[in-house]
Amino acid sequence: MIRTLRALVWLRWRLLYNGLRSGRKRGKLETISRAAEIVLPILLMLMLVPMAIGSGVLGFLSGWWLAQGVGPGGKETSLMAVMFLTRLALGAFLVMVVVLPLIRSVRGVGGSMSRLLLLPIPRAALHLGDLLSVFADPGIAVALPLTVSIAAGLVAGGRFVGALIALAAAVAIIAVCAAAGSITSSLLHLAFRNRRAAEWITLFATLGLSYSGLVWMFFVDGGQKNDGHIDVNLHGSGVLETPTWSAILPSELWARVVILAGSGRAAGALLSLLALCGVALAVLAVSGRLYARVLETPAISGGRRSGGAHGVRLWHIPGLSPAASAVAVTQVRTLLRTVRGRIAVWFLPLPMLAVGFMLRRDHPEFAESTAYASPGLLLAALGLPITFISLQMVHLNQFATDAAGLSLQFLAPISDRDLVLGKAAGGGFLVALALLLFGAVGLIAGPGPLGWMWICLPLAALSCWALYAPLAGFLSAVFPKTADLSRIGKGGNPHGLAGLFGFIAIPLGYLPAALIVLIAGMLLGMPLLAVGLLVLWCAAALGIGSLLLRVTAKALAERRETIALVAQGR
Amino acid sequence: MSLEGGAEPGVALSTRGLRRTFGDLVAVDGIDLEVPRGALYGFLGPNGAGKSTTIKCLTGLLRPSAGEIRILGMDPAAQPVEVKKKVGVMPEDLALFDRLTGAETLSFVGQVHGIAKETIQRRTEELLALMDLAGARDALIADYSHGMRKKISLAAALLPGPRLLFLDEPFEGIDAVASRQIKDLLASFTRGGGTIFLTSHILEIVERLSDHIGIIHKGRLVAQGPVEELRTGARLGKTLEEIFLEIVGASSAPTATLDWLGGP
Repeated sequence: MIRTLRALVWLRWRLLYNGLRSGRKRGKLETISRAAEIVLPILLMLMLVPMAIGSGVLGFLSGWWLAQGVGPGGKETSLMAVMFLTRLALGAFLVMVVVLPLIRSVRGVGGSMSRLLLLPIPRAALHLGDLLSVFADPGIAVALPLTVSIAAGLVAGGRFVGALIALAAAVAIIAVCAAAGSITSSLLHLAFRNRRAAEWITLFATLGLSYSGLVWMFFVDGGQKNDGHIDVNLHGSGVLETPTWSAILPSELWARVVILAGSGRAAGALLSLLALCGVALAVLAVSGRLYARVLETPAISGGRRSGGAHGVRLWHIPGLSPAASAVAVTQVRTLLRTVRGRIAVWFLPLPMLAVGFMLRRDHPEFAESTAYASPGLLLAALGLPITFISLQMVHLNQFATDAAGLSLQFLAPISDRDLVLGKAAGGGFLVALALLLFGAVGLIAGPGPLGWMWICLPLAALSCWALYAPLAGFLSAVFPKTADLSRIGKGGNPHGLAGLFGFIAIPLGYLPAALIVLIAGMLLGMPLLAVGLLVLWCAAALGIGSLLLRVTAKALAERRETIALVAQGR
Repeated sequence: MSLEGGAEPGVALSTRGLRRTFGDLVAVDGIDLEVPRGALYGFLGPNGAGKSTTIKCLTGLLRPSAGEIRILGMDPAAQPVEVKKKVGVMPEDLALFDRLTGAETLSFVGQVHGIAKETIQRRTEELLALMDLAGARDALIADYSHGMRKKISLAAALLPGPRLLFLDEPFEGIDAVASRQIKDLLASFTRGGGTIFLTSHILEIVERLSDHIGIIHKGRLVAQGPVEELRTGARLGKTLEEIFLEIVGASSAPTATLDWLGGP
């Protein structure tokens, strides 16, 4: 068993280490990019060390104060505050244990168990290895010193029996943490067996994690202002009190054991310890059953749609050759079937809608249109840069994101110019789609009386896209990066330098249109002139963009081999 | 044979001094291929011999470091789009979009070849039925099995009605029924005047199907010609496997004993 566990630990280490090692290098840019990838995790690990030390000190002091019966300053209330803090920290760690595997799965980290199953390793050892692997999570590495050092603090305070009970409670709560982490991992393994289910989980987990920050806004009582401070209504929860239902939480059970043991009430502490051990055993049993279920059916298969008899719609975009049109349609089809594509196009306006709702509720004065803006117009205008930024992952890596599909395009009779033109058209359609939704959100929030400004928005977007598309294609050709747009995290992002240049290009692309609206429409007060000038600028930008696409096509021709290799992940 | 001014009418594919290097590594070292029109040319070689690199050079995925290529009388470097219109390829990585359905993949290929919509739809249905993929026509390629991916990739190569087919390991991971169907399909393709250039590790299949064979070893073309011609002379009566092993020098390789295998 020990040999097996040692081998599993070694395997985990090698997987981590080899993941950081550079593969086949194709240039200095890639070396720099990889170096950045290595430095970041090391910095994070270094940051954990003081956190672990701090957690150990907090635990030790809590134990010592508990043994004394008084907290800092010799007050009983301060002792309760310290214990509350400790309980809160442990509760947070417990939540982290459950959430971390979810984030990891969403980001696409995780290995196959098929190889391990083929080896002569007892299933119990595999389960134990899985339980122990939870301790590699940073949150647990920080929580561990907290629970153990409380027992040390109690010993220092002279509560030896209490220290023993607290140590047993530490073991039990750690077992709960490990089992909870294992349960989450197993559930995700089972769910991710089906590709479609995995993608929906990823989508909702990402939306949930990203937008959870907005939830607090709904609890803010914006109507009452107190010297400029906003009161957060926590609905009666006291500073040191926790709700009654929380007593059944393992972290609360653990706190009860420790407080009773620290105050010399051994019988009560043992009773609570018994309850905590019962919870630990139950969670471990569930974790074992789920893990066995995962091992029994390790192969991952995709959900298949039943075969219908409906034909494929063959769209043709007017003005484009059949090849360029096919490239554009495929670009749109494939992106809207990825998690990141769906989020960027369909779900991005949602937070704007929430912001609009909040502004109307809390700041009625803002909801009133002024001479130059209405709340809806402002929200829709915000969509102009946001749409470009959110779709960067495909615009700035438009070739490599096709993965093996890129070879299909390279093998097909498509000229380089048709390929970049098709990509530009497809990307433009995606931007237009997302902007339409932003526009709809703006109209819901309040269109206002400024009709001419609403006409300016799509014209500004078109002029910016006309200049941005060739640059995006060029950056995609020069800085390709292996990417999977159905995974969240760095794995789906474009190359860092492409992202940087692309980000700078967005405001520059909008600048002429913004100046036209500002000068002709607002300063001179001639909206018709502003719209007319914008139309002219759009025509000029499309002409310039068309010329620039030739440069992009040349860059693509030069970089075909490298892009194809990168697209395949080599 | 001269490659200047177009290839000979009877030659579908020819190369002269084709060479491809990756830094110091010479993957393909000056090979002279000649594939007659209507032939099923088996391109053999051990792992790492340069087969896939050669196919990538011939299909335009890699640019040769030196040498000339003629495909159906055209220079693919000068007329890449024209050449690709007449060529179908099933490459090593199968070249498929994971996020398109089988039917959409075939439609995409048809559209980029400029084929009329009705023709695309008719050919799509015929190919899906032939490859036994009609039931999975609306499933994403991401959900296809390896064998299904192979079949849809082959269907994509066939849809435009090419005159020359490049197939990289077409029988690997294919079940017996599909394998038989594909063999019949390839035979009918060559009977109709089409040319096939295929690589395979299954020498029995290559021996049975191919009428011409080329053997590449360490980047060099070490043998080429009609199968019967290779069998005659010094190699009379030998199977293709024996000829292949003899040419690439594997028959004389020392066999490790691994005494510990099969022990108690």
